[in-house]
Amino acid sequence: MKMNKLFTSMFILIGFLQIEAQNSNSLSSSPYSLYGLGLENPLSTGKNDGLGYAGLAMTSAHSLNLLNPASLGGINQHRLFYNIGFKLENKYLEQNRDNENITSGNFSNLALGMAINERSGIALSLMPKTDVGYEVSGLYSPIEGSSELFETEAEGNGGLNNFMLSYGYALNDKLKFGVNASLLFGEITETQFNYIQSNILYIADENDYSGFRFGAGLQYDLSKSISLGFTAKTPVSLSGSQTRTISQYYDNDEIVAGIVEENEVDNFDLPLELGFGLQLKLLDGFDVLADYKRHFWSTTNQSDALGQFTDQDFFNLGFSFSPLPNSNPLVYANHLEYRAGAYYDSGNIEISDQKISKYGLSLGIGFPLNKQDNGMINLSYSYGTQGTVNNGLIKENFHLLSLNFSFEDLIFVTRKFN
Amino acid sequence: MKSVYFRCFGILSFVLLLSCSDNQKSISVGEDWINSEIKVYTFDTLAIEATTFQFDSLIVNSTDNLLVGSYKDDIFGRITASSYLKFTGLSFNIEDKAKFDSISLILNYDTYSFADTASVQTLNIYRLSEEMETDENSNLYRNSNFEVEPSPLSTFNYSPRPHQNDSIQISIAADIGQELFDKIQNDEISNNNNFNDALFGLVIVPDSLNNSSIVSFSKENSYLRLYYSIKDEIENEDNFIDFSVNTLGSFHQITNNNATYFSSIEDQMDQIPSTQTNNQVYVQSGTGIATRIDFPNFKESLYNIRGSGSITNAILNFKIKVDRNNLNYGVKDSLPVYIINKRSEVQDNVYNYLGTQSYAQITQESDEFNTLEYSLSLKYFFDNLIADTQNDDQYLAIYSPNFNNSVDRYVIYGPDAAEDNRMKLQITYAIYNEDE
Repeated sequence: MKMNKLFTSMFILIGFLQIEAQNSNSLSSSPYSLYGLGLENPLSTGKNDGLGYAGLAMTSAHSLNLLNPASLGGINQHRLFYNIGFKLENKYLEQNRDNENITSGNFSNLALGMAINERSGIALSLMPKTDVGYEVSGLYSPIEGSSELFETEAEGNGGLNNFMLSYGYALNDKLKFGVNASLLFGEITETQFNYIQSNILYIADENDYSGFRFGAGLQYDLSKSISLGFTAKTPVSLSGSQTRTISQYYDNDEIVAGIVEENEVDNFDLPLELGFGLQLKLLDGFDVLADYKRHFWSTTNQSDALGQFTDQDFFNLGFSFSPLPNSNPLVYANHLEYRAGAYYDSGNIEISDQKISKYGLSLGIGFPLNKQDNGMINLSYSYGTQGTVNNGLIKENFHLLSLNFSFEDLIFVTRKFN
Repeated sequence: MKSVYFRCFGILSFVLLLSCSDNQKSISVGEDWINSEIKVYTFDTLAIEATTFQFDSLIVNSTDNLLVGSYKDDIFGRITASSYLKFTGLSFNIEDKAKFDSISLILNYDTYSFADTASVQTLNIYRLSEEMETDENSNLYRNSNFEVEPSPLSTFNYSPRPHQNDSIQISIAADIGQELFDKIQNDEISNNNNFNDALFGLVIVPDSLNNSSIVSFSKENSYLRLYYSIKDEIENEDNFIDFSVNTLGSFHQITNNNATYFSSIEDQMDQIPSTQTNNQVYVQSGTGIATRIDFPNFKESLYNIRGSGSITNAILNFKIKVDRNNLNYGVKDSLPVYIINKRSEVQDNVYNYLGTQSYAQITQESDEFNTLEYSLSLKYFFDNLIADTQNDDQYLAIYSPNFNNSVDRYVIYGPDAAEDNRMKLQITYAIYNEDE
C-alpha cells in the first residue's frame, strides 16, 4: 500500500510535467487549429475514449466518468479513482495537390475522484481543452509600391486547459444530480517571421485567456437496463490579454529594436452547451451508449478571419462488451472489456459555406489491473476524418491512440486485519 | 501489485519520451489560410534637401603626398595645387676639398593624377621668404599661405608620366646650391635648425594658363639634392647629399578660382541649395567642397503614417554624372558619409548594424546615360534619429574618400533633378497595427 501511494504521487508528478510540456510544445498539427482558440480535445477519462466519446448516462461506479458530474453520485463508498491519460496522433493532411504527414503526442488528462459518502462523490481534473499547433512557411505577400514580395513564416501553439471540480449527489437510487465548475485558462502564442528584403521583422503575440464556467448534470435510471443523462454548460466569455513583442533582426542576426506592447484582445465567448445521453444494458455485459450534444455557437456572433462560428452538433455512439462475466475468473481474458464506437461532430466553423465536420470510428479495450478492484488500463484507437478537400479546404485523416490508466484505491477504511 | 505498478511506470515513461521527442516540421498545407499580420510599403517620396557647402579648414599636411598642377573645370573653375616643401637632412658633412656642382629637386611620382596629363605643364620653383608656421595643433590647411621671393629659382616644363617614370628631376638655379654648399662646408649649417634657417623651403607653383593636369608626388623618396665632386690626383669623384621632404612640414595648397557656383561661399555655414545649382550638388576633394543631405520633416512624415509600424529598410540612392570625355576624373567605388551638425562640423560616421562604417557604394552603372548610381544604407542612422528625441541637428555629408590628398570631384544629381536621375530615399515600412 505504501508503494502504491508512492507511485500515485509519481504519476501525478509526471502528469504535471506533461502539462508544462503541453504549454510549451502542444502541437495538434492542424491548420484548423488556427481558428478560435484551437482544436477541441475530444478525449476524456476512463472508458469513454473507446466508446465514441459517449457516456452522458454512464455511472462512475466502475471508472471515473467526467462527461456528466451527476455520475459521481454513483461512486461506491470508500472508493478513490485516479486517472492519467496520454495520446498519440498521426495525421495525414490533404489540400489540393499538397499533402503532409504529421505525428504528435501529448498528455490528455489527469484526474482524481472519490466518494465523499454513500451518496456523493467529488472529482478534480485537469485536461487540455483546446490545442493550437500549426507552423506555416512559404507565405508570400507583396511589398506595396514595388514588385517585390516578402515571405512570412507563421507558427502557433499553446491552448486552453480545463481545471475542473465536479460534484455528484444521488438523490435516491434512481436520480443523481451533479454540478461542476471549470477554470479555463491558457496561453496561445502566435509568432510571425517576416523576411523583408535583408531584414527580418518578428512579431510574437502571447494571448492569455481565462474564465470560469459552470455546468450541471442529471442522471436518471428508468429501469435496471435503461439510464438517461442530461448535461448543460453555461456560456462564458473568456477574457483575453495580449503581450506583443516586435523585434527586428538586421542582416539575419543582429537584433535591432524590440518593442513590447500590452494589448487588450477581444474576449472569446464559449456558448451554451446542452447534452442528452442514453445507456442501455441489453444483455449481461453488453451496453449501448448514445449521446447527442449541441453547442450554440451562433448565439456568440463570433467570426474568424475566414469563417463564421455556427451551431455544432455531436452524435456519439458506443458499445461495451465484457464477454463472459460469469465464466472462469481465473482466466485473465475473461475479464477484458471490449469497446467500439462511432462519432460525428458537425464542426463549429463554416468556411466558404462548408462546415468543417469530423467523424470517425473507435475501438477500445480495457485491461483489468487486478481482481480486487476496478483498476484498468484503457487503450483506445480511433480512425477519423475532418474537413474536406472541396473548395480548397483541408482534409485531415487521423489515427488517434489514447492510453488511459485508471487506478482504484480504498480510502477511509479502518483496517480490521493487519 | 507492485509489479503491475512498475510496468505501468515503464509504459508511462515511454509515452512521456515519445511525446517529448515529437518534432514538428512546418506544413505547407493550409498556407493560404494565413494572412501576414503586417502590411509592407515601400516609397521614395519623403522630402530631401541637398546643398553644397565648403569646409573652411581642410588639414593637408597630414597626407603622404603632394599635389602639383592646375586644370580648368567647367563647374569647379580653375583648380591650382601648389606645394610648399620643407626639407630635412640626415648629415651635414662635406669634405673640405669638395667642389659644388649643381642642385636639383627630385620628385617621386605617386600613382595618382587628375585630368589631362598629356599636355605639357610648367612648374615654377620659388624660394620661401618666410618660415612656414603651423597652428597650435601643428596643422597646415589647404588655404595656408606663405610669402615667396618675387622671382622663380627655375622654371620646369614637362609632360607628366606618373605610370611610366619614377620621378622628375628639376634643376634649380646654382647660386642657391652654392650658398647652401658653402654654409655646410664651413660648418655654418651643422643641423636641421641651421639648415631650415638658411632655407625656409621651396614652393612649386604651376603655371595656370593651360587646361592641364594635377599630379601627385609622394613625400617619401622626394629630395632636394646637392651634387658635388672631389678632385683627386687621378680622377674626379662625384658625390651628392640629400635633404628629404619633411612629411609634416610640407603641404599642398589648393585653390579654386572662377568656380561657377561656389564663389559666393564665405564660410562653411553657407549652403547652396541644389535648386540654385542646376539641380545638382557637388563634392570636390582638396578644396573641401561637400554635399549636405537633409531630410526635413522626416519624423513628422513617419508619424503621419496611419497605424504603428517601423522602418525595415532605408536606402539613399543618388546618381553621379560621369564625364565620358575626361576618363581621368577620379571616381571611387565607395564614398564615405558623415553626420554633421548645422554648422557643418563632423559629429560621427554613418554606421550600419554591424558596427562598421556605412559607405555609399556603386550599385548600378549606366553607359547609355553616363551615370553611376550609389546606394547608402541609412537604416541604422534613422533608427537612431527616431530614438533620439533630443538631437535633431543631424545632417549627412557626402565626401570623397581622398578628401585631402586628391582633387577628385563628383557631380551628384539632386532631389529635384529629372525623375530618372533624382536623389531618392527608398523607405520600406512595415505596419503591424493599422488601427493605432
